[in-house]
Amino acid sequence: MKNKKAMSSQLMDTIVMVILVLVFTLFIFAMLSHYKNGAGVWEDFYAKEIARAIDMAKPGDTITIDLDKASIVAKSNDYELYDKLVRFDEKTREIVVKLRTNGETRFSYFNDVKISNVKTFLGVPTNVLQFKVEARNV
Amino acid sequence: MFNNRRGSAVGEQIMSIWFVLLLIILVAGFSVGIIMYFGQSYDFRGAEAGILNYKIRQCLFFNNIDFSNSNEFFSVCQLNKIVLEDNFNETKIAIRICDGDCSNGKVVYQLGSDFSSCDFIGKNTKYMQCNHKSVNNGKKVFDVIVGSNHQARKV
Repeated sequence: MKNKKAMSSQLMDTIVMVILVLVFTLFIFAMLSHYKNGAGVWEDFYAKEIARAIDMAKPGDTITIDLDKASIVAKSNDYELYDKLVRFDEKTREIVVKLRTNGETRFSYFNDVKISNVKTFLGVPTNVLQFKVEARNV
Repeated sequence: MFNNRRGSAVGEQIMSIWFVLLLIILVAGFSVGIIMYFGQSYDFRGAEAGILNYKIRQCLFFNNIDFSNSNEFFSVCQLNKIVLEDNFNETKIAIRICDGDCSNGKVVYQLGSDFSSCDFIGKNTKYMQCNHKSVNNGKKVFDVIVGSNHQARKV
């Protein structure tokens, strides 16, 4: 009888420990996935990579960018306006990337060019952004 | 016998307290590590400085620029004056162009002032990332230093 009591108490201790370790592991994984799919991180990445493409472009170039990951991140953040994930602010010469309902990330480009013909193609087979780089003083 | 059993129960309790404390310390450590790693923005400063330096050198190679008029430099090199000069406090992209070596040559154009931090690349990530190269257009040798501490704007 005493043996049974001791065993059940030991079992309870082990169960509690296992639950604690599981909670700990789940918390770490949840935190990792939250940060990895964080809209802020991907907005920052897309804004800077698009700025790189524009800064290196010459007038007449057409640039096509895969927005697949951006679309997935936007969907997981309940923002489903896929044709408005990326836009260009001509006044401030900034690339605006929005992958969440509240907030956006802006990054400016120094190449003195005009961005035109901005189009988003959905499902070809992935979502793609296409725009044309033109000389400003034409 | 009874005393021994009580002793072991107290010992187990103490051990479980230490175990929980250990888990709390681990959670705190992992959290700080994850936030520090993923909280950092995508570092584009070095690449940006390299691209701008290349554009300026290419422009100096093919054109004769009158640096007394900064508008000419920006329009001939197809660089946006509003972004680089007027919004300098926001973009934080510094440019220094020298006629000859910048250590003893004449500075013909400068935007921004803190070029001393270019010597400390790798020491502190908060310093601007620099790109330092020269170009010879057949008549003159220009030394071009570009430093960037340009960060994205979260709205």
